[in-house]
Amino acid sequence: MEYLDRVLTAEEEIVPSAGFTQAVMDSVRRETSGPIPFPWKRALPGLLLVVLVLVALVFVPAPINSSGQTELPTMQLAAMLTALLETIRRFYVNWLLGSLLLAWACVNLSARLASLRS
Amino acid sequence: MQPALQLTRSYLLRRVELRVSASEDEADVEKVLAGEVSAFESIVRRWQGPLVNLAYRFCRDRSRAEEMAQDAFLRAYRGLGQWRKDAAFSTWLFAVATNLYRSQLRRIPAQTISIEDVARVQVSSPADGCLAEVDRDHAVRKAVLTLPAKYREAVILFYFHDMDIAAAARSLALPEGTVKARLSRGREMLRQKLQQQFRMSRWREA
Repeated sequence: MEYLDRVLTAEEEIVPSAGFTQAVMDSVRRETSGPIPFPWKRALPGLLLVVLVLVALVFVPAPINSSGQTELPTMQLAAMLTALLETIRRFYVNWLLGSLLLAWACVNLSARLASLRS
Repeated sequence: MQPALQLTRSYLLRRVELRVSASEDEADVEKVLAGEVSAFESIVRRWQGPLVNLAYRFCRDRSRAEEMAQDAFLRAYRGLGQWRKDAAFSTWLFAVATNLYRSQLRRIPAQTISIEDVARVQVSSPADGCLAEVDRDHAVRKAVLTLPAKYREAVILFYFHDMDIAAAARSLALPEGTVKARLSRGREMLRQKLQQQFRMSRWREA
């Protein structure tokens, strides 16, 4: 065996540091965790309830008014929407929703920036 | 024990180890793919030594070698489903790692020493023969990094795989003939450079 072969074959082996495996597994677990998934199981009953209320509003027989005529579901819906808009105006719900949306955008943006840096 | 005999023995031992670990690797990969992330830890424990050592041969920097090996494990984890099982897991893992190391070193090259420094080390302490020999061997290993990339990679992989051209070719994803040619050229370049510089240094010293 010539000199080069002897030197390059008989290379001393280095031992990885004690925390190497842990460091690799930490990065692997970070990789697998990802963003927190939406809790569909918990939200499902609430969503079903909302759907049921909407369906009931449309299909439940309309009450008879004072003049003896039945109110159409669409008329009921329009009245409800008007009331809803009035509530929104009175309690500044639009501002509340706007600020919530802004807060969500800020959190989302900072989380994205943090993941880019890491 | 003679160096050649020692090499053969270590080569055979490594072969047996590889065969034993192959079934363990396959079982662990199955577990990871089934969602058991902790099974990947066994794979890391089994292959951390070879992957860190391979990275070290590419960069000659201990802490960078560990960083590179960590990235290689992460890349292997991400692509675990791409292992086709037509080759051993270790072959696939080495190919993934080699590919990553090559691209990382293309972006940020390893710190190398010049061939002149190699020669200087050899003649610097002639009184202490043993120390000079150790330094010279170390410097020669570092000198491999001064070779052009394609020859350097062939040389590193060939010696890492105990002078097995087929294994080096699989890690580099190149035909054996190409690796053989690059290896031959790389060794020749290294030999010529070293001989020339050692001669010049001796002449300067005189």
